[in-house]
Amino acid sequence: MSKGVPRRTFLGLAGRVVVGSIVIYGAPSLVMSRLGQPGTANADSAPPGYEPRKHEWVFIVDTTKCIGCGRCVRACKEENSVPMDPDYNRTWIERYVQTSDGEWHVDSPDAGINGFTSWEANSELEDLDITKAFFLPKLCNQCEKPPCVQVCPVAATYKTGDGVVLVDRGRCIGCRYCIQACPYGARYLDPHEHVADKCTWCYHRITRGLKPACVEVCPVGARKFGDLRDPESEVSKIIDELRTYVLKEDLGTRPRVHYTQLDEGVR
Amino acid sequence: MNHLSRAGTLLILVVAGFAFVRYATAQVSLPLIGLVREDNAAHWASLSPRLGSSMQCQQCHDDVDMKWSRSAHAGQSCESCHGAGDRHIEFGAIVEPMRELCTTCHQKTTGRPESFAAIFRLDHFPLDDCMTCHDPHSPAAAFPDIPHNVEGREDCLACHGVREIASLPPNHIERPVELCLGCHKRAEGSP
Repeated sequence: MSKGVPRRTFLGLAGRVVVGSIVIYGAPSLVMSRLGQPGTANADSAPPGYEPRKHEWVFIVDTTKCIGCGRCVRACKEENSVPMDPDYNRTWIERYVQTSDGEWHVDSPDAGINGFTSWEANSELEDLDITKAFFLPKLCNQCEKPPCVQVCPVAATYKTGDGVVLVDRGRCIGCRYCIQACPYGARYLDPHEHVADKCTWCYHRITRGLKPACVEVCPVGARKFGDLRDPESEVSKIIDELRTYVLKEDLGTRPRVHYTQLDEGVR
Repeated sequence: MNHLSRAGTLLILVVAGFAFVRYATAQVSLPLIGLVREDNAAHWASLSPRLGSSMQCQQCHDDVDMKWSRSAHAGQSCESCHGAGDRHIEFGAIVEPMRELCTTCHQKTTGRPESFAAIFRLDHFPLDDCMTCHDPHSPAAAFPDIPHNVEGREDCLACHGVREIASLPPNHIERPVELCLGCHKRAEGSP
């Protein structure tokens, strides 16, 4: 650099420009978003009046009521545009059958979306000496200590103030760590956008005061949903009065999906 | 002392910078793991629901509601059988009609609770459409017209217990004969 601006002056100026731009353009929006005021790029608006921290949602499944009709699986796919391919599910139904020799037979034909009444689904059970059989609906447990959130390398998945675990599809890089980490198999990779996807408990519905789609359509009331902060809600009373169980309690994930009368064989 | 004060100033600046960045990016709201992305949560909340509620259906279909709200299917979501109603409301499209939906719930199947009303498809009028006797909006059997005089008779089971003539539905087998005429009436115009 023989003539013109000396290197020292140039670097000094450049440094000031960079730091200055960050301070002038970056800081206010960071602080604003931190303070809860809408940033400029955020066009989405949540339903007005919904405050996440005033709710504590809980989901209860009564395994003695489920008839395995699969309407919940279908409604979930319609509501959330989940691919109809049976490999991709936000919720699904499993059937547990125990025979007199103590063996368990578990099946979930097409995730239970068409029910369990087909000949194919039942032909293998015909010759068995069945002592116990029941259906078990499954979905994301929205864990209090979610392993999927812990492992995400880009912090794309997070817990909201009301306890629901969501995925930021814009940040997700599709690395599948969370799918591996989930002990309940509740996550899948969206085949179109190649980002992780999972049950949101129909976040767009519960924030509007509606029930999740699967709860709405369940014909026998096997799925219940409500707010633990409301002592008069059905779920509060069930949690208070009945014995409920969670799946894989020993893992310490503290699921928010509770099962009443859950059999020892599936805990 | 000059070199000390310069180092001190630098240290203060670094600590303040770190505190600022942490303040701006980390959310104190979560005592455990991860960040809360409130803008993204707002995005999830802003999606529009596709399933409505049966209350919306009743606003137009009050004739169905009259039957349904008094039936054993009362309180069940319309969309449980008919599918999501959003396109129906927006475009007036015909809602997905009932297919073989009855047996999805009402076929006896391994795993289904014993107490649930269910039939064996091959035993319970296998050749007839469910809707011959049952209206899904009011599913207690709407009895097919009985083409003979039933008034005053008490010998129903002489024929109707016999499979070849006219079998009884499974849930009728334990019922005493005195109850028959409480529901079943002679068709108008029959002999």
